[in-house]
Amino acid sequence: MTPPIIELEKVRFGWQNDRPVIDIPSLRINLGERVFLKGPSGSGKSSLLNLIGGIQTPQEGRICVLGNVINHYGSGWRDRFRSDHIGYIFQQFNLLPYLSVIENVMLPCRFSKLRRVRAIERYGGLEDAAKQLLNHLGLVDDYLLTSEVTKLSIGQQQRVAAARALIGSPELVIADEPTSALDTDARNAFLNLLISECDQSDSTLIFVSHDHTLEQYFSRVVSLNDINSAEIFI
Amino acid sequence: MNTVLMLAFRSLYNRRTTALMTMISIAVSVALLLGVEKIRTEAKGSFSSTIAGTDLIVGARSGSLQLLLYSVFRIGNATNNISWKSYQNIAAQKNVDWTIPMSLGDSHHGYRVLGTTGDYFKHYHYGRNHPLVFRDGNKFEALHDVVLGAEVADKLGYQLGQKVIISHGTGNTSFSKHQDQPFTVVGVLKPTGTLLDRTLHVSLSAIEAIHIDWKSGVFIPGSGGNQALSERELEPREITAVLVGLKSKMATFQLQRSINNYRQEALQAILPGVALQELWGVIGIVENILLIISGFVVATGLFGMLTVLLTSLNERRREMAILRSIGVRPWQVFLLLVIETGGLTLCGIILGMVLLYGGLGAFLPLLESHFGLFLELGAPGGYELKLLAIVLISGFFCGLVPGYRAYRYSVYDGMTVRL
Repeated sequence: MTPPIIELEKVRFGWQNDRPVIDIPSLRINLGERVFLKGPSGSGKSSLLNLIGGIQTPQEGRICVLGNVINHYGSGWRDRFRSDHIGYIFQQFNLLPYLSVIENVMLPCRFSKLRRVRAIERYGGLEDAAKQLLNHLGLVDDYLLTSEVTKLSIGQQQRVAAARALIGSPELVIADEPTSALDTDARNAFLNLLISECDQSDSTLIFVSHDHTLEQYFSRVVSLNDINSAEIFI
Repeated sequence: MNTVLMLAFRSLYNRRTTALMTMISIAVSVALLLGVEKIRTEAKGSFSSTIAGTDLIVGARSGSLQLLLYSVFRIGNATNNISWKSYQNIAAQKNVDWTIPMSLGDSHHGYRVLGTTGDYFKHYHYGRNHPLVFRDGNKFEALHDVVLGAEVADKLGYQLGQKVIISHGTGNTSFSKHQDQPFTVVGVLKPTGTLLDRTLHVSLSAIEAIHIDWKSGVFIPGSGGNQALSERELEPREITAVLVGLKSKMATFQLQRSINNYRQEALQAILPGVALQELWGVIGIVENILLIISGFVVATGLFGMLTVLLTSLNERRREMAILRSIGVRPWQVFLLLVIETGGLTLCGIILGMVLLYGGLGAFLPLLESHFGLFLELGAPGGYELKLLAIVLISGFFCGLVPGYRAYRYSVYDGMTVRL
């Protein structure tokens, strides 16, 4: 059996103690899985991602990522852990507007030594790593690398964000509705590229979306409504 | 740390228009603060340097400030005069090195006319012991010669050899003029930045001469007799005040006391330095008010920066979330904001100094000629550096506010921004 990358046990989390937004008795995601996490807005998706990323800690239970019970560590350790092992892609506005495309991609390696070392090991250099990743994701033109990110289309911006999440081969890539602003063609192209790049770097992918039509791309579908027994009031 | 610095810089550069405006508003307020401070100290210096090298000022007994005001600053009038006899008595004292008798009371287009002796040009000093220097011509020799202060000559456009008519009394537009005895310009002094620039100098005899036919402020031709001017002995009966220079400073207090106790006439001797300090104490309140106002201007500049940063903070929550997702710690986000405000303040201060020194350099000649303000473009002194340090520290403290808010955002929002 493949080892788990994420294990949640009896996790309860809420902004107010008596009203949890997350109450997950058990969730296990295995190494290398392609997980489609679906749930309507307000079902606690953001909270779950913040918990896995170590931004917030649960009031009860344990969250185990890569064999570490992260909620037993301090916030500094969790920040470093996140920077070393998790890559994020957001819904929109993923990029720092004041950095160029290639600087945005290389940014995680400025904060994580581990990812910097891995990127250099694999591609020979940081810039090479960024260029290769962007190439793989279909951003071939050299002038794009140094251009301002605001001049890119949303589809291009999301690919840059994917390259940033993947640089330095983090074990876990979390994508939070990254395709919601894309049209169908761009969405399919993006998904194909993202999954193949995750395969390349052996990263586990958690893909959050409310769009059921995307389920077919993933090896496993988890519905947040099924695993989260907290009652959500919208 | 380097990365945070780089991010702060790049982020600021990205918002360069607002950043620049913020910087300029700080720069202007800093320039104003330093400018006021500079003018304040220089004005005080130029004020207290109106008269130098004089050990005692002697006049009729009144108040020390009043004597100073009418004798040195030509403000107001003397309540009483000194008799020529008393003056000669003082001048004959063994410790007295030189005396400058002064007779005031007439004017020309609002500029005061000073009756004095040739010793005036020799012994009168101003500033850091600068003697009087002639720009054109020489001191008065003939009876109807006049030496002009620089401003009088420039404003009224007088040249050497030109005729000048003196008015009776000190009003700006006097109807009684000494038309019968016009004066000839024989000399113009170099600008001194003091009241001297606004003074016309004639001899004491000339003052006597033009008043011969005057009785009780009215010109009655022939009332003073028909003797020709050249045949008259034009010795003044009274003068307004005397400046006294002593051979030894040690004798100052002794002579002061003996003059104050002078039996024949109610006289008073004052030490110019002490009286100047006293006077500055009175008008010095204005300088403090100026400084307080410019302090408020700086505070306004900093508040402006704070407003701009706090407003932009909401838009930048996305940026904070991205930074958090790649492992940037909340205190680093805090640092980012503090570096930004500190950097803005520092750049504002530097720009302000450039503005001030550039502006002063450009307008220095104008300040000198129009306001008689002699500023020196020296490096900022200890007090100014202290002011700048206070501004800089305040800037960093301002950064704590948006810094703390960004910190809170990044702790609670995490990677998801609820806008």
